[in-house]
Amino acid sequence: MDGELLFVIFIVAVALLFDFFNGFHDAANSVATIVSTRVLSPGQAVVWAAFFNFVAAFGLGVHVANTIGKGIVETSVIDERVILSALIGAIVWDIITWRYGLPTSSSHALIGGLVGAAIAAAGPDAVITGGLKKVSAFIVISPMVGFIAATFLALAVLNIYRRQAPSSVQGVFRRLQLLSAAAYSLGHGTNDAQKTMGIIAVLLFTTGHLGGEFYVPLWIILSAHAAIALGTLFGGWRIVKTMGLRITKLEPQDGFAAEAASAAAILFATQVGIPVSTTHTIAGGIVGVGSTKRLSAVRWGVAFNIVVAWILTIPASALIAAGAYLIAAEL
Amino acid sequence: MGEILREVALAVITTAIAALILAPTFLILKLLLDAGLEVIFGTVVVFGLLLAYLLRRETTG
Repeated sequence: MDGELLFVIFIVAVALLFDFFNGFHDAANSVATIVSTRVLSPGQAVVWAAFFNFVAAFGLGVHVANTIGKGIVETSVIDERVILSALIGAIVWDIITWRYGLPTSSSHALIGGLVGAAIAAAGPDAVITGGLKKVSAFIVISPMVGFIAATFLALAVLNIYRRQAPSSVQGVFRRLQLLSAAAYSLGHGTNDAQKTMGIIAVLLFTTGHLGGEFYVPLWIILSAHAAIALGTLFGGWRIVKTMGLRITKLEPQDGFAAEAASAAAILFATQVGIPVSTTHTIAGGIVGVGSTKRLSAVRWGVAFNIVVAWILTIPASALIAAGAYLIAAEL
Repeated sequence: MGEILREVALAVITTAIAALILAPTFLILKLLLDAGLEVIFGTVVVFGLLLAYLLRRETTG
């Protein structure tokens, strides 16, 4: 086995490790509402979420992987060093934000890393402006759609259950939240795992290991979903507290509305091939249900800190990745 | 038994209403995206801010 192939295998392993930590870092959002409303215990909830993260491998397409692979930066500038630097930029930024307990987006860190490394390698022309514009626009659109849809769902639920006894409402939504959490985990699994798929596929394509045409082989699809599901299973539920409890206090019916709305927003983005932050989207949904009670029920200080971290993610991870590329180029 | 049946009926109604809200949202978003990135961005942001303003007005006090 030659050194170049070994290096490619090493980078594929790093990409899958990033996917694992994406599950570890982000997937807690899938179970945040279901745990904070005490529908499932943390242990049961992560198994539930991990299962649907993996099941999402089947039948939801690879549109997002195609966008990451050939829609953000020109494939002609991508090589092993660009991909490794992109992953380093994303991982380092994830560790920094994890250290401070901020639920930022691993997805945007990866996109920032890819853009930064590509610019360092070949200049600003390496970036496909239309693709980056679309991703950037959806940084705002996806949480906003989560907010709007969750608000309408929460208002509908308030009206339907106005005359019902609280115990009856809890009974219904403890069951329904299992469905909404499953839908959210499907959305999370498919959108997030596809980012890693795109990175691995474009690495193999540009290094000549995929043949003449870009596509995502089945083994990459299954590996990426297995990695994110394992990540979900192995932890990350410390961030549950930030999303489920720190933004606003949730009841089972709120969790249902936030999750169902966010699942719809993420599945929409997945179908049109746009990588979005599942963290952003569920946060928008949680703010939406909190706002239907009182806007003051939303702890805006926490929400503001999260937004600042979101805005910084792409530039910060891009800078780290560019630095990593420049160091790698000297070696 | 009656209580369980009532909860199941409520769950079915809630699911149907959620679908009635979310399915058109999906279609509207697709139409807006097809109309252009600026169109979907502008519409979603303006609508979201308007909704937040209305919620603030209705829930204050």
